[in-house]
Amino acid sequence: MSELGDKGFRQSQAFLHTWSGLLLGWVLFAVFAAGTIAFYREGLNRWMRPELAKVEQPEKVLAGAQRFLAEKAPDAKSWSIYLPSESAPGAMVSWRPQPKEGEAPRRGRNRNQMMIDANGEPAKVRETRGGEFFYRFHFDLYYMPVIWARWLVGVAALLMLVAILSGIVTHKKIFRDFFTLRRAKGQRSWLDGHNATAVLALPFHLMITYTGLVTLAVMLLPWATSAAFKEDAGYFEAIYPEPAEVERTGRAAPLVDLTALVRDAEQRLGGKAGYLEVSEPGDAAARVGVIRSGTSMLSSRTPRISYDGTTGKPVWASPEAGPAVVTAGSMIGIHAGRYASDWLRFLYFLCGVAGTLMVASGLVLWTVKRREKLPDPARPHFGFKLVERLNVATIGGFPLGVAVMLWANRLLPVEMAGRAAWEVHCLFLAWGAALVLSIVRKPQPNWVALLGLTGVLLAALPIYNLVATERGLIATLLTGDGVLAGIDIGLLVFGAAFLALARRVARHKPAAPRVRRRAAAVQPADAQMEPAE
Amino acid sequence: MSGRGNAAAAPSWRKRGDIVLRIIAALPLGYAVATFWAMALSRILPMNPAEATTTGMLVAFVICAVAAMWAFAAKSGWRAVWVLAVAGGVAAAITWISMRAGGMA
Amino acid sequence: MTTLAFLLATLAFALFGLSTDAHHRQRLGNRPDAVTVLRLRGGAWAAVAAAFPFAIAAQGWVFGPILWVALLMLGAGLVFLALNLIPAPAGRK
Repeated sequence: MSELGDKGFRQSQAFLHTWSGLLLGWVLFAVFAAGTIAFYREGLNRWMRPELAKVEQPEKVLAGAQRFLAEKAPDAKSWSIYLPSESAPGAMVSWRPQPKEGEAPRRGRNRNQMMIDANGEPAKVRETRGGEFFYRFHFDLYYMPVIWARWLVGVAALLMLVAILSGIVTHKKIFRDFFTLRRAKGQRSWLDGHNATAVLALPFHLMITYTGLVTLAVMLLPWATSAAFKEDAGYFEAIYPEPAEVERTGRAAPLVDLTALVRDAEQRLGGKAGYLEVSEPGDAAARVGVIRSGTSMLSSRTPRISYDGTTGKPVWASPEAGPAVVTAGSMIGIHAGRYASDWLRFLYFLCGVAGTLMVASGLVLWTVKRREKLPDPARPHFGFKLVERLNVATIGGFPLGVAVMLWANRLLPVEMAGRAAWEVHCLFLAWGAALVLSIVRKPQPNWVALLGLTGVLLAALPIYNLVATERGLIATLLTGDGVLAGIDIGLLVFGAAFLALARRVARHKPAAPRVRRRAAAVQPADAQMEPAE
Repeated sequence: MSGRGNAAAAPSWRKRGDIVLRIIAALPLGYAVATFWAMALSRILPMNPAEATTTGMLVAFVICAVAAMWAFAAKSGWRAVWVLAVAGGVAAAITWISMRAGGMA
Repeated sequence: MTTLAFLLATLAFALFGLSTDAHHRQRLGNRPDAVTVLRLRGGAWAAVAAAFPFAIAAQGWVFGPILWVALLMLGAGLVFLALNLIPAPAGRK
C-alpha cells in the first residue's frame, strides 16, 4: 500500500480522514448523540411517563393485556404484545382488525395501540414517544421518508468507518499520544481531546460503526442477494423462518391463558419471552407465537415457538440458524446492547458519549487548525464560515433541542391533540432557532448562549420532577428505582457540564492575530494535507 | 515517488483532477467492487445460499472501506481506478460464470 | 474473576502510560531508557493477555470477550484520567 513512501501514505490517509469525517460530520453528531441516549430508551420510556408506576409483576400485566384485547378486539386478525420487563413502563399492545374485502394490508405504524400499566389496566398516561424517539431518530431521522434517512445514515456510517480506519493508520506515535493531554494549548489541546476520546474507546467506535452498517446491510447492498436467490423474498424466508399462516375457520373457540403459555414457552426457549403474537384470536385456528427476548441473549435474531391457540400445544419451533446468520444477528445484538447488564449498559453509554465528543471535537478541531492559517481572520473564506456555523448550529443546537423536548414532555397539556408529535416538533423548533442564531450572530456568543441554555434546562428538569411529579429524585432513591434516579442524576451532571463548558467558552480570549506571511495565503491546500500529529 | 514535501515533486494527488478520480475510485467504484464480491462470495462459498449471502454482505463493508483507503494511498488516481475496476471485474466474472453453471435458490 | 480481570486491565494501561517519556518523568523522576520501555510495555501486553482468561471464566465464551474489551477500555480511561488529572509530585514537572 505504501507506494507513496511512508510519509506520503500517512499524508494521504490524513487527508482522507479529514474529509470523510467532515462531509457528514454533523449528521454523525446527531446520530451518535441520539444513539447514545437511546441506550437508555427503556428508562426514558418510563421517565417520560411519570404517571406510571414501575412494573413489579409482569404476569399481572400480561393477564390484564389479554383481558383488554379480548374485550377491545375479540375478532381481530392479530394481536401483538410487547411483554414488560422491570424496566418497561408496561406492556405495549396493538391489534390489527380483519381486512375488508379487496383491501390491501395497511402499512406504516399501527394506530391501534394501548399501554397496559403495572396493574393490568389500560394506562391513563400522557401521549408521548418516550425513549423510542431517540432510538428511531438515530437511523430514521425525521421529517423524511425512512428510506432516504437510512441511506443518508448508512453512507455517513461508511464514511465514519473510513474515518476511523484512516485515523488509525495515520497516527504515528500512538503510545506517546495515547496518554497525552495538553491543556489550554489551543489546537494541541483539541487534538489531544479528539485523540483521547477516539483511542480510549476505539474498540467501541469500530464495533458500533461496523455493526451499525450490518443492521442496514440488506438495504445498503440490495444486489448482494440477487446472485444466489431469484427473489429477495427467498433470502428473507431463509433467514427469518416463519410458520405457515393460518386460515380463519369461523368457528369460535376460547383462547388459552397466555400467562401459562408464556411460562411454558420460557422453559422451552431457555430464556425470558419478549414478544407475543396472536393470530386469529377467538377462532379455532388461533395460533400464538412467542419470541424470546433480545435482552436474554446476544443475537438479535431470537428463537420463536408457535402454539395452537386453543389447546396450548406447541406446533412449530424456529430452526437453528447457521453460523453466518448467527454472526450477523450477534453483530446487531452487540450494537443494540439489549443484552447488557446495568453496569455494562452504563459503559456503553460512556463510550457513546466519548464517540459523540470525538465527532464534536473533530469538527471543532478542523476550524481551530485552519483559523491559524487564515490570511485574514476577520474575513474567513466561505468554506470555513460554513463549517464554523454548522458546528455551532449542530453541536450547540441538537443538545438544546433534546433539553427542550424533555421540557415539552413535562409541560405540554396532557389532553393536547397530537401531543407526542408536538414534543418532537419542539426539539426541531429549538434546533431551528439555533441554526438561525448561528447564521445571524458571531460564533463565540452563540456557543455561550446555546451551551449555557442547554445546561440550565437540563439541570432544572430533576428539580421540576422533585417539585411537580411523584417521581422526584428523593422518591426514586427511597424506593430504589435506580433507572429513574439515574436519569435525573445524569441530567444534573450533564447540565453542570454544559454550564461549565459555556463558562469556559465565555472566558476564552482568542489569540491576537499574527502577521501573515504571503506564502501562507498562496497555498491553502497545504492545510489539509498534514498528518494527524 | 515518495512524498518528501518538495514543492517541485508534489505527490500526484494534490492535483484536482487526480483527487476527483480517487473519489470516484473510492465511492462508486469501491461500492461496486464490494457488491460484486458480495455476489461472488454468495455463490462460491461452500455454505447454503443464505449463509453465503450473509457472509458476503458482512465482508462487503470491509472491502468498501479498504477500497476507499487504497484509492487515496495509490500512486495516482488512474491507478486507483483501474486496479479497483479489475478487482470488481474479477468478482463480476466469477459471479457470472457461477450463475451460468449452477442454479439459484 | 471480573475484578481480577479489571485489575489486570488497569495495570496494563498503567504500565503503558508509564512507558511514555512524559509520564515516566513526572511519576518516576527520570526519562526511561530503551530497556525500561521494553520491559514496561512487555509487562503491559502480558497483563492484557492475562486478563482474557479471567474474563472468559467470569462470563463464558460469548460474553467473556465483550467483558474483556469493556474492562480494557475502562482501565485505559481510568489510567488516562489518573495520569493527567492527579497532580505530579512537586519538582518533577
